[in-house]
Amino acid sequence: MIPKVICILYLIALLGIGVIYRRGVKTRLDYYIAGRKLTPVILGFSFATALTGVWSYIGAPGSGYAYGVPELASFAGWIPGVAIVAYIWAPRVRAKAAELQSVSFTGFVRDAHNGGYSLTVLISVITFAAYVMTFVAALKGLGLMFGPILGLSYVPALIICGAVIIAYSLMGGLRAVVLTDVVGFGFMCIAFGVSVWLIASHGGIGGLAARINAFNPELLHPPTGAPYGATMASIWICFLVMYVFYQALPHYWHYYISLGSSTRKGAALFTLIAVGSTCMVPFFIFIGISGHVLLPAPLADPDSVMPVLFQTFTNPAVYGLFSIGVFTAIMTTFDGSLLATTACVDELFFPLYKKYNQTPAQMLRWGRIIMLVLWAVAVYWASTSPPALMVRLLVIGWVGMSCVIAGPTLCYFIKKGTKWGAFSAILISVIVYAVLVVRGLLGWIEQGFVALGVSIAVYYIASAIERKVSPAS
Amino acid sequence: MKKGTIASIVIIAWGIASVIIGIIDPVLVLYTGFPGWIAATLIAYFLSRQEEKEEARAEAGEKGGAVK
Repeated sequence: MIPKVICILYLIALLGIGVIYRRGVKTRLDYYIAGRKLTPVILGFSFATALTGVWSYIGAPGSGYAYGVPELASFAGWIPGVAIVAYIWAPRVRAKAAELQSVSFTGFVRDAHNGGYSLTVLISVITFAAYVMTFVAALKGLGLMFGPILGLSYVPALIICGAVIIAYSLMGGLRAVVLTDVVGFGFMCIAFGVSVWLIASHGGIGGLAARINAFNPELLHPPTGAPYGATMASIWICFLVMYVFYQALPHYWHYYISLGSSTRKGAALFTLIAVGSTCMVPFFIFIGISGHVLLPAPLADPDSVMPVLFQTFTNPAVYGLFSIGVFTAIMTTFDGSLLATTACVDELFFPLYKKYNQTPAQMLRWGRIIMLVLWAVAVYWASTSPPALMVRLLVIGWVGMSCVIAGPTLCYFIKKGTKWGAFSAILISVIVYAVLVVRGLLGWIEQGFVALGVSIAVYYIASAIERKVSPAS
Repeated sequence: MKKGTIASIVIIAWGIASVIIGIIDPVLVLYTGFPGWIAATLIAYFLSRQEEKEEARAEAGEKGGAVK
């Protein structure tokens, strides 16, 4: 009963945030990037929750329970990637975005390369294809998690939770998304506090590690890094490299574009908060591994380790707050990605707005309609598709997306390419990645690295050729 | 060397160091991750702030010189 009441109150509070921020949204700039006025600290909290997401609460501890320490290596390898991009690249992205007047990832890449409509179409379509799976996976998570708490079956729970998210996102735009994420950060801190308390009350890190080693030494010192099928050292290094480029995903890029300041000082604060939050995740994973020695019986579903630990060791009110934390984590992945994807898809129609002399208010209305359509597609797909397929597609979508756009995003700041360099890099690496995935060649990390290498190589080679052929470019 | 550059080096150096620590023993990450990253980003923050102040001072000095 207590978790249900807390959930309902939270959903009402979210709607309230949307209503409050509705008045401040007058243009596309307000809607998508909050007028580029959000402070690095506030945006940092939102970015932090978007970075960690539901995987850090449920999936990562579950993977820790199933495979042991390799998941910890993958996440801890991610933290330097977050820090490097947030401190070194983010202020440069923001400064360039302000110069170009970009309100979306698509707009940024296109305008930075003096590209045309072909580049807009390519990036927008790929972003939509990669992110629609995120929306579906998030909605599925909401339906599965909150149906039992709210006393509803899967589809009504999915629709109710999804409706609340779309309502406040439609009303308040990025400002509402960010504020709800900041609230979510608070819940994440509660989950972190409980995890630290659980560790401390069971002998500390050293004590628990000793008990885990006594139970099964391979959990903390595995001979190979399952499920990644590589040595532990190569997992660390691979994830460090890959996560630098992973930070160029469109919904993360959207945060850099929206930063209210392009100063290094602001970037340092933004980095501090982002990195501080990602540092919590290894603790969640360690708690997941500790599930073997903390819980009386083995779990059939590894992903249930965190909820079961919270249910076993805390009272219903704390478990209710944990459930809200999970909801918030799903929500932050969903609302931020939805807004960033809508901004990208909206770029497809921008020439039409200009052609038919649409006013800023009309453009804003079209943007909201696009967001509603994307949401409706995701709800339909989520309520009619098998869950396991979605998780696989989510990995393919995000890893693939981050790798194929590597050339025209982060590499742009090392040496600028040309518009056909950017276009060829994305198109050719998408084709290569699709072939690898469809034919089942290599593991998913290797597939990503091949696409990453192709994207960077083609970006520079095609740009060099274009400059030779047409020196003016 | 500019202070912002030093701050970037601090971030990258600690990033590489944290990965090496993790390769040696992943459990050590739980001890070193939080304090290490908080220290590295705070150092970056103070260096960036100092650089900004110096730039502002230099800019004000240039403007003052132009007026004179």
